[in-house]
Amino acid sequence: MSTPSLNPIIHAPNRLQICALLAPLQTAEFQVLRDALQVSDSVLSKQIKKLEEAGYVKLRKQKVNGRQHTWVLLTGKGRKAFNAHVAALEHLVALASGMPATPSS
Amino acid sequence: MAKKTYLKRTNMDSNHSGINTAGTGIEEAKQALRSVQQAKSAGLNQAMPTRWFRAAIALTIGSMVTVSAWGKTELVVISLAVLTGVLAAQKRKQGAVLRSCPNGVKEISALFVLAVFSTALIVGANLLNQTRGYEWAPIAGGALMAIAVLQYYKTGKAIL
Repeated sequence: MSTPSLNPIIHAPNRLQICALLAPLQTAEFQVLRDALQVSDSVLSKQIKKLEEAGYVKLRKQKVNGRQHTWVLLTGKGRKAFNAHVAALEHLVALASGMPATPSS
Repeated sequence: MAKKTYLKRTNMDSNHSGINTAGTGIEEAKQALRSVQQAKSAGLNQAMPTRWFRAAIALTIGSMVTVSAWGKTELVVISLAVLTGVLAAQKRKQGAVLRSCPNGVKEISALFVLAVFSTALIVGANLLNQTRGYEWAPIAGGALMAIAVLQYYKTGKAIL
């Protein structure tokens, strides 16, 4: 049986939270993510760029009433990687407590 | 709001250029899992329709059941257009959209029950209206459907 391994791209706290926020959603606006994470635009842009380079998120730009809105969505690859990362974390915790890991929903 | 306390306890910068995942501590893993749960809840809360949007969605779906039971299928198109408008306004206002495809057995079964329930309401109300002349039946069916939708948004469960 293979041991689940942590994903270094997702493991960064801000990126982990971006993925977790997007996991139950189809898409979320950049501003929503920024407010939820309480980070600056530039920090969030940097983190999202890393995820985008890995193919984990996609950006969609939309103009509404002359204002540009950026929507972020988790790709299938990103969702898989995030679920695997969470499973690896659960595995770690389960190993420490001496119990078999049970995957969360 | 997800806490980021575990960030401080690790020697990782926000870019994680040289992260040693093999050395991830148990406490750090626990903190990370907690922050994942908190962030997921925050995302869900953000995308969940507000009270007014929930009411608008429930009323529109209820009206769809009513007009279907009345046999005025041409009016269903209007209800559908209104529902699309309400959902678009909600997306713009709240800045987040829930996943459209159901995730997990619970969600799928709840939506399945809602679909069966709405079909039963349409057929039942239509029969009562056509055969017994109960003109209130389609309105009652629509009201029941609206309550079922509100219940679904409130608890994530169908009316049962």
